[in-house]
Formats: sequence, structure tokens, C-alpha cells
Amino acid sequence: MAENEDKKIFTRGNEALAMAAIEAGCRYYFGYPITPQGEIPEYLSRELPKVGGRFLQAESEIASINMLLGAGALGARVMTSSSGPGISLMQEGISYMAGSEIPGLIVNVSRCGPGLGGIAPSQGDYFQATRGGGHGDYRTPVLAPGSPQEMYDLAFLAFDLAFKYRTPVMILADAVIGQMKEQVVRREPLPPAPLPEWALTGADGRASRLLKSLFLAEGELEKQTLKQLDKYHEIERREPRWEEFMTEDADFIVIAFGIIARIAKSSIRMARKQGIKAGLLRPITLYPFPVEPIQKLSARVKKILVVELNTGQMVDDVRLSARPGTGIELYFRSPGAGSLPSLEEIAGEMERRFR
Amino acid sequence: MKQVFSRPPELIDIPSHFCPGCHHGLIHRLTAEALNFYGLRKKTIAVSSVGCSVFLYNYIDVDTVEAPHGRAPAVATGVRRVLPDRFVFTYQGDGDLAAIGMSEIIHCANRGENITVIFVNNSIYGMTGGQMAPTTLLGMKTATTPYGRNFSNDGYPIRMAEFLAPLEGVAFSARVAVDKIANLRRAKKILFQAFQTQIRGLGFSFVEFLSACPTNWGLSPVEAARKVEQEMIPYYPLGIFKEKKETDHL
Amino acid sequence: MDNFYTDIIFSGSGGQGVMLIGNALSLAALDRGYLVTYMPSYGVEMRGGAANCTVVISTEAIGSPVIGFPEILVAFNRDSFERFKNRVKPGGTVIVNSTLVPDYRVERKEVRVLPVALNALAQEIGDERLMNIMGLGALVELIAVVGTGDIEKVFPKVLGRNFEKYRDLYLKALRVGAEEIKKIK
Repeated sequence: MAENEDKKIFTRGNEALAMAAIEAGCRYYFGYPITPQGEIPEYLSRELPKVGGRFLQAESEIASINMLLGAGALGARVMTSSSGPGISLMQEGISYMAGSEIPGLIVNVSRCGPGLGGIAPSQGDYFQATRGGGHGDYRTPVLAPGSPQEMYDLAFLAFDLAFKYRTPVMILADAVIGQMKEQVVRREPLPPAPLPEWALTGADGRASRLLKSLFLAEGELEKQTLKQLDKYHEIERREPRWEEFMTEDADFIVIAFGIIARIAKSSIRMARKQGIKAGLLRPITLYPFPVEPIQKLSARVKKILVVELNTGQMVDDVRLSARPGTGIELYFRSPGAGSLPSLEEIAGEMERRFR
Repeated sequence: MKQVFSRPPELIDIPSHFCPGCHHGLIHRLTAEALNFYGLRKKTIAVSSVGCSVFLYNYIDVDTVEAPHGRAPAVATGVRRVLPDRFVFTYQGDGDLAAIGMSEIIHCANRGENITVIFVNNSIYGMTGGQMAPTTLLGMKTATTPYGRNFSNDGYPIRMAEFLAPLEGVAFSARVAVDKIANLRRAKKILFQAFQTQIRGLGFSFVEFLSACPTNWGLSPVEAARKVEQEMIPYYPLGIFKEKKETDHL
Repeated sequence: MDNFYTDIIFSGSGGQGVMLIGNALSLAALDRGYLVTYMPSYGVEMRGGAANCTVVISTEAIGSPVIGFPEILVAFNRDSFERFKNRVKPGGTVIVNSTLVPDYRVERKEVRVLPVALNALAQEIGDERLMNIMGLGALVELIAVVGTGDIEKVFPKVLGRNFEKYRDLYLKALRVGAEEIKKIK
């Protein structure tokens, strides 16, 4: 019984994520301090040494991501975490990791931008996360947790995807999901994963291995990029994840992710009491975007309302996914201190647009 | 008949693509000899960088990861943390290490990462076509200093081996040249010493090679080697600037 | 369990133990089978000397853990009282520390104010620092979702070794806080 009790904990999103990373086999963390994700490095600096792992506070986010690249090249499960400004600095390294097919987990507990912006929750990094962010023709799987429980669960999934597809994976959270505490149910830690066959270990009794993103010879880069494209297509086919809430009989659909989806759920309950048949579709993977369910829903609902904590970014993907002619509206709050919409506010928007 | 000379198997047997008179080939050769001498191939992870130096992996037959421009010391740090018993070295040019990668090299050195950095200083950007490097000599004309490097606009050439030496984490720091046989011999000895520093776990080791870039200097191979002797060595003196004999962790 | 929902902002200055009692209430409500979210102030706010946290207790899935307009405000000092008092929902309640805010006043008639002289009462029982626990006792009595016994059960988790050492004092503070509310509510 006591053991069972330990599996249920009341914890912060950031800590849940850090805990899950260790349980998913991550033993190395490199990062640079920034609000609002401080609990992740603080937790890991305390806990990693206990399980034979290493924690290193780097001199910058640029150094962090490159340490991740180096450690990831050895086939190890590695991660870093940061927020907006730091994630911008990491884009170079993420592009190199994608190009060299080196897995790793990058966590963005995002805050407001542009520039120094603010530390309030924000979804303004959606484009940066889902459109590559760094230079070149690549994609990064992006997972968007909506609760501390998902901070925990998606850390496992992130490492799965990173190694299955040999790619950096991003978890795009926000300040509220990272800072809030809620009950989290833990699972059994994963057994150590076998070393991948591409890992650098020293050419002992075998040919030497090379991990690189430079392909200069004629036709070489195109071939490599097309190989990667196949991989992205497979990811788009197999890995979209989303949650549907009260969509079965819905006439109207709200599409939102992360903290906003969480609030919108309560708004939908409120609107249903007023007789508005609304439902929610919450993308859990932002890349690959859940195109199919949105396409299906758009064929049968009267209107889609996209709600975002930015000035309208994901709405582009919704427009690309929905059937032509679907009525798609956007309600947004521009992120900053005090701009997180209340459930009444979103319910009010639904009332206004769906009635 | 006794064989007195052969190519170490760590050096891949392919024609060099480097320009005639470029010193990269010599430095590769010394690197391969050192790897061979200490039997390191099977436990080495090399980190290549951006610039002409990137092609290290075409010549040296060890596991290699390619780092973004300037970031090789950070990449090597990641490698070192995961597999502390491996032999790890970076191979970086002057633009890579002393301009864009200055932060990474200083912090890596300061952490005393037990790695070896081979720094090839030819005082110019080779691959991008001869622009000014942080190590370009005063008065030297380059593609971006057509009137010569002027300290009032461009600052001064950086002496990296001396600059890093005082950091506590640095166990070994030296500058060598390969412009003539005597210097080449001494360079080999010093590179071996740097490798030994890492093997003994003493901390960060750094060897700066003065190197010729005939193409971008607009000189013949012989003239370029002479420039190393007459212009570079007077500003960048050869020698060992730091040499720890034992670990001195507090 | 009947449908239930409430949200509370605990507010004061750093060092007054605001986060601690928010956590204690959260854990006790969880043990009682409620869904709970806890949201602390963080970052810049933390360094301004102000501290606050929001606890939501509900029988239904909780939407936002961030509450702009709480049902209940527990204010430990003047700054936090002034900052949050006008955000309390109509029909809501403010528990205010009248030792530090003797001239407390909420202009809105639809908000009930319950003053408790937390510092003074805590001093009386032996240690002024117990004012946060006393405030928690008052709040628990007000919302009647968890009992002081439930709080007692989670104290070892949030107070650590201190609880064993000063057990009687903590429990007394909790009780006195609750009694004060009983008198005036």
C-alpha cells in the first residue's frame, strides 16, 4: 500500500517532468538558469548524482545545447531545459542535432517575448517550436503538456520519440503548467535502454563512426534530406496525439493547447449548462499536428474557435487542417502579466460566437 | 631490412584535399602518430569543428562528432560527462576557437575538462576565403582588412596559448610550429605531452599550432612557411606556458 | 461527494509561511478525495518580498489554477490586503490579519471581512511565527472542507522534523485560529 502511495504525489509540473526524465532513463542534464523553469535543474542537480548521472550548469544556453549534442552523440538519454530567450540561443544546436540525427530532449517552459518580454505564461513560441526554429529544412516533434501529470507522461514519450526517430524532441510547456502543483501518478521507471547502433563509443574492434550534418558532395545533402523527410512523414502518420472533450455531439469546437485548453475545458462545461453544445480538441503533439481529427470535425461542426495565448499562431495550422469553407475564428490574449484568460472570459467568447 | 617509416593506420590513406603548403596535413599526421603511439584509436572520440578543420574526419580514423562553429569544447564536455574514460580531443581553427567559440573554450578550460584541444592558428579564415581572424597580425591584409588590420578598428591579435594558461583548470598549454623540421620534431614531442596530460587525468590540455595558409596569404608554400618563421613566431612565441606535473584539485 | 468548488488566495510577505499553509491545505484536501491545484507566485514577484499562492479545491476537473477573482482571500499583511481585497468575488470572504492591518476596510458590501489578530494571538500562545498556522486554522474552519485533524495528518510532510519538536504549539495555533473564526463567522 505504501508503495502505491508513493506513486501518487502532489508536485509541481517542472518537478514532475524532471522526475519523469530520470525514470525514463535520462542521466545527463546540461542547462543554464532562467525563470520559470528553475525547478527542473534544481531537482536534477540534486537527484541525478544519486543515480549515477551527471548534472552540469553550462556557461550559456549555446554551450548547454552543444553539450547535449556531444552527450547525445554517445547514445545517452540527455536533456536540457530553458525558456524563450534561452531556447532562441539553442536554435543553432537544435538544427545541428536534427541534421546529425542526434536525439535529445529540449524543454521550453515558455515565457513572454519578444526580447526579454516577461515571465508570465505564453504560447508565443509556437511558431519557433513547430516551424523548426533553427536554419535548414527540418522538423522537431513538439509535445504540449496540459497538466503536471502530462509534464510527467510526455517526458517518457519525448525520449521514446527521440530515439525511435533519432531526432531532438521539444516539450513546449508554459509558466503555469511548470509552476502549478497537482496530483501526479507515477509509473514504473524504464529499464536501461540498449545502446543504439550508431552511438559513438570509440572504434573498438569496428569501423569508426561519424555523426555530422555537413554533406558537400553532389547529391549527398539532397539524399540525406529526403531520407529525413521520409522520417518526418512517418512521424506525421504515426505520432499525432490529441485529446477530444465532449466532441461527440458538439456543434461547436474549441481548439486550444496547454494551459489554455485546460481553462477552455471548464468554459465548455459552463457553456454546455447554457445550452451551447461545444467541445474541445486539444493537440498534444503540436508537430505532428493532429490534422485528421480536425479535418473530420470540421466537416460536421458549425464553427471552430481557436483560443491562444499569443496573437494567433496555431490558428494557421488549424486553417491548414480544416476543410475549406469551415468557419474558423480566433480569440487570443496577448501574453503578459495578467493576460491569462479566465474560464468565464472564454465562455463569454463562446456564447458570443456560438449562440 | 628494417622498416623505419610508415603511415600510422589512424591516418586514412587518401589523397589530401588541402591546398599545397597548408599545414593541416602535417598536424593531422602528428595527431595520428600520437593516437597510434598511445594506442588510443579504440577509445577516442574526436570533435571536429567548422572551417577547413572540419575535414579532420576524412583523414583521422576515429569515432567523430561534428560540432557547430566554435562549440567543439562544449560538445567535448558533453562527451566527457557521459564517457569519462574515453580519450577526447577537439580540432579547431582560429576563427572557430578564438572568435565565435571564445566563450566555450574559456569555460571548458576553466572547468578543467580532461580533454585535449588542438588549435590550428593560421591567422586567417581559410574556408570562407581569407577574411580577418582574431589572430590576424597587425597590418596584415585580408579579404576584410584590405588596408591591413588596424588595432584602432579591429583590436589586437589574440595569443590564445598564453591567454588560457593562467586558468586554474588548464593543465597544459603550449604553442608549436611545423614550418621546419626542428619545429616539427618539437611540435610532435609537445603534442605527445598534451595527450599524456589527458591520459594521466591532469586536466585540460591545449596545443596551438602556428600554421601556414599559402592560398589565402597569397604566397607560395615556401614563402608561407617563411612567413610563419619571420612574422608569426615573433608575435606568437613558441613554448610551453603551463605544465602541471600532477593534479592539484583542492 | 456533493459537488464542491472553492478557490483561495493566501497572501503575505516572504517569510510569513504563506506557501507552506497553501501546501498543507492542498495535501489535506487531496487526502479527502478532492481535486486540488496549487499555484505559487514565482520569479520577479518572489524577489519583491511579496508571496502568494492560489489553492483550488474542487470535485470537478479544475480548469485554471490561476484565479483572478478568488472566493476567499487570506491576507497576512497590508500590501497583500490592499492588492487583492477588491478582487474578491461578490459573496466572497476576506480573512485579514488585523494585527498588521488594524484599519482594514473593504468598501464593497457584498464581501465579508473576518479580522483575526494573527500576530497578537500567536504571540499569546508563545511564538509569533505561528501566525501562518493560525491563519490556516481560521481558513479551515471557514471552508469546512477539511478538518483540523486532516491538516494535522499532513503536517509531518510540510513541516518536517519541526512538527515533532513543536507538535503541541502547532496544533494549538491551528485550534486557536479555528476558534476565532467560530466566534465571528
